[in-house]
Parts: sequence; structure tokens; C-alpha cells
Amino acid sequence: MVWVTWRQHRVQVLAALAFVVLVGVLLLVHGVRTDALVTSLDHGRQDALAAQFGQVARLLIWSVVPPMLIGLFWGAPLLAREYERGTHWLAWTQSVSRPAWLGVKLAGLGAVVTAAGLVFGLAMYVWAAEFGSLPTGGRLGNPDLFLATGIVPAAWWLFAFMLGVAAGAVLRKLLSAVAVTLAVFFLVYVGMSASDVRLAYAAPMRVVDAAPVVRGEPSSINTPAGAQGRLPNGALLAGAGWLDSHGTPLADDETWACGSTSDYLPCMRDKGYSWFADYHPADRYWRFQWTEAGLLFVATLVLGAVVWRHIR
Amino acid sequence: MMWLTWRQHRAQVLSTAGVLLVVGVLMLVQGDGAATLLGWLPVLPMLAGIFWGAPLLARELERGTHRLAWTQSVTRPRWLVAKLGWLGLAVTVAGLALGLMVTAWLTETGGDHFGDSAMFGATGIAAGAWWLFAFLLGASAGGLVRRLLPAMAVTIVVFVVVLFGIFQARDVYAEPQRWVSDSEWEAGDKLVTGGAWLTPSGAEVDEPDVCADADNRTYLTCVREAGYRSVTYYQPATQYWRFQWTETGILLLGAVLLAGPVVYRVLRRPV
Repeated sequence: MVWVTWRQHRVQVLAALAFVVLVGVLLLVHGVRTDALVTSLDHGRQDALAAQFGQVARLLIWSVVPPMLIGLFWGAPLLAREYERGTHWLAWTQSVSRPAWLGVKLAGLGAVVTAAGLVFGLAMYVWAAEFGSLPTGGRLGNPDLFLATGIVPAAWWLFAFMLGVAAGAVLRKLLSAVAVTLAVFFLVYVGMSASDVRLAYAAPMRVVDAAPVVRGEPSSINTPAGAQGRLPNGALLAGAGWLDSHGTPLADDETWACGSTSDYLPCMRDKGYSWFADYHPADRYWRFQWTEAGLLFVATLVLGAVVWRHIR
Repeated sequence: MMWLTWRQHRAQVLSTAGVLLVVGVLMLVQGDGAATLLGWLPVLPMLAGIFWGAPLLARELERGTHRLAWTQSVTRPRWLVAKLGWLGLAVTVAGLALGLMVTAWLTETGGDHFGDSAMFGATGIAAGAWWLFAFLLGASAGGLVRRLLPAMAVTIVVFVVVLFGIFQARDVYAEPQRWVSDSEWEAGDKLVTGGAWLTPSGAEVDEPDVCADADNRTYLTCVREAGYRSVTYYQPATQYWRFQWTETGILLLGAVLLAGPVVYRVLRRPV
């Protein structure tokens, strides 16, 4: 069975391994070069570091692509292609029982997917350590880094794989399975990032400051970047605003009652308002990673059960 | 043939109509908030390549059903022309319709349809050209590779490469205008393609060789005080339609160059 699995899926396995090795080597080279560049500078280290970070960071939005391709090219064809071509009649009437056939395929390919995702996440984790001092360099604070480092990529890759298999098991047609995998995965992945689900993995901590100080434009404290600048390094911002003397958050029109003038902060202070921000400190990174991986793993198991029911 | 094309591809036609409907509703309901999702618009035509184009020939060749399809009263050239023609038309109309929707959304929300590289290709006639290009790319991949999954993979890879290539190429569709920081900057939609610095003596350099110790906040002031002026290269909004036609021309030429060999091969190859 291992041999059959390898023969049927070797193109996918080799493509994924090549991708992971390529990413690993590129990140290693980039990290070493950044290190050498930054240590050689006397001035402007942070600027150079930010520029180096930007080269890779602008690609991070594409982190949705590898798991999507895994769902499309590993997951969806696994059962849909057999059904569509009728080869499942042959495959399931050999000496290997149906559960064994499915078990080896799912476990074998699932293990490869997970291992590839772990290597990818680990390489990104080590690479990102170089940029921890940047405002956007926090592995927890920067949502793109959170999705690309640690164990979360492996969890997403495995989830995408099982989603593709389940779509193939239910729909039994390759094209439909591919289309459904693509749509569902994209919606779940982008939806998780667009909504505030991740912020609710733990109760946020609150910092209150009666007399905040801001570098630059005073009212910029009301922007996400302005609030982020006042948080501990690498923290994940969950929300910010102003509190009145009773501790209730202000509505929008009260927040801007002072206008966006240069004495915005003293004006707010005179009214008795204090600034607050809810955030998750950087040391919650692994807790959040395990939470997200756990949620995805449960979803993966549910999809696995769906596959199992359709096979029996 | 029209009936056959519809029967074989109705799932794609209906799903695409569904996708357009969802995008439209999203833009209506979310308004400005749809911007993050709409950032993905440039990859949407790829779906036409994967689901409309790649299966067109690959599925027939893979299953052997081309032997049946091409030995009926309809000749092979007519079969191919009808399929490529009707589906190409439908795909182009879908792209143009989406383009109109996006233009309306941009007008409503005040976004750029020229300066924003994601939106430029999703509006005007280039929107239709991108969809048609992706469709013919998928069909060509299917005709050459002759197997569905590899054809889809090839379509994805080539499409992404072309997308990045075109993003880079747009800057040089026309000679850019030059703006120096001591003159009036006219507001409005424009495509900024590059920048540089003018030394006090009037030479153009990439980086000023002063103010190396200044930090982020004082850098600009310091450079200005040293007598440097900044230069911006840009394309004005009036170039929009010229650029649309240029991009459409490039994509259509690419589509024809891709589809030509495939058509030839399908017509010539023994069944």
C-alpha cells in the first residue's frame, strides 16, 4: 500500500518537498545576509532591517496558496479521481481492505503534508526571529507572521488536505471537488483573518493611560498603528479607544470632540478621559498557535469522519 | 453544438454567474469594507482558466471521449470553433460585467482604477481580456498536457507568472511624466512608477549621499535642507484608456499565440 500511495502521488509529494526545500534555502540565505548587513551598519540599523523585512513580508499574503494547492492537488483527486474513472472498483477489490487502503493513504499523505508544513513553519519561525525588534515584526502581533510561523501552517495544510479528500468523497467528481475545495478553503482562511475570531482565543489584557504621549501627530493614537506603537513589543492589538471617568468606552463623536489638533492629548486629559488598549502580549504566541492548531485539528477530524462514512 | 456546449459546461456558467452575484452583493453590502477581499480580484480570472479552459480538451482526451465527440456529424474544426467561440464569448462577457461592477464600486467608494494595480486589470476592457486570456491559457494547457490535473497545475503556474510579469510591465507602457517637488502636484488618480532625488547641482541620483545619521522622522527635513529635491515619475489618469488598450492587446496576442498551436495540433492529430 505504501508503494501504491507513493506511485500514485509521487508528483505531488516531490513538488511539495521541492517547494519546502526552496523556501528553506531562500529564507536561510535571506536571514544570513540580513544579519551580515545589519551588523555591518553603524547607523540606520532599524531602517535597513525594515527594508529587508519588507522584501519577504509583502509576499506573506500569499501564504494562503500552498495549503490551497495541497487541497486541490493532493486532497481532491485522492477519492474523486478513483470514483470518476471507476478505478475504485479495482482498488477496493484487492487483498487490501477498504479501511486499510484509506488508512494508509490518509495517514501516509497526511503525515507528509504535516511534516512539510512543520518544516515550512519552523523555517519561517527562525527567520522571523531576526526581525523581532520591528513594530510589525512580532510573530503574534503581525497576523501574516502568525499564519506563516510555528505549527499553524502545518495545521492549515493538513486541514486543506482533508477538506479536499472530503469534497472528493462527497461529490465523487474531480472538477466539482476541486471547485468546492477552492471556495470553502478560501472563505475559511480569509474569513478567519477578516473576522476577530483569533482575538478571542484568550481574554485580552488592558492597559490604561491617563496621560498618553505620542510621537508625531497626536490624534494618530486613534489609528491601529498609533495604538500598536504604545503597546509592549510584539503584542497583538485587540482594540483601543478612550474611557470616561466611569470607565465606559467613548463613542466615536466623543472621541473626536477635541478635533484632530496639536493639543488633542491635553484636551482629552482635561475632559477626564483616559486612553486604553486591549492587547495580547507576545508571550501568548504559543498558546494562540496551539489554540488555532487545535481548532483546525478538530475540524480535520470531523472531515475525516465524513470521509470514513462515505467510504464504508 | 450550442446545446452540447451548454450541457457540458453549464456548471461552469452557472457557478461563474454565482461568483459574480456574490461579489456584487458583497460590494453593495460591505461598501469600503470589501476592499481587502477585492484585493484578490487579479487572481479571479485564473478560475476561468482552471475550470473553463483546462477541462475543455483535457477531460475529453483523458477519458477518451474525444473519439466519440469527433466522429459525429459535426466536424472537428466546427466542434472546436463552437466550443472556443461560445465559451470564450461567455467568459469575456463575465469579465466585462465584473469590470463594470468594480468600476461602479470604485466610483462609489472613491478608489483608484488606474493607480491601484489590482484594480486596473479588473476594470475596463482589460477585465474581459484577462478572463479570455486565462480561458485560452487553460484550454491550451489541456490540449498540450492532455490530462486534467497537470493541465490545471500548468495553468495556475503560467497564470501567476504572467500576472507578475504584466504588473512589472505596466510601468513601461508609455514614457512617464516627471514631477519635481518644487512645482505644483496635481491631485487625482495616477500611477506612480518611480522616484529619484535631484542634487543641488541638478543631477539625478537614487539616494542622497547626505543625512546618513538622520533617523526616520528627521530624514526628509534634513535632505530638503541640504538642497535636494525629490523627483516622481508617474503616468497621469488620462493614460487610462491607452493603457487599457495596450494591456488588452498584449493579452489577446498572448492568447492567440497560446491557442494557435493547440488548435493546429487538435485538428491535425489522428483521433
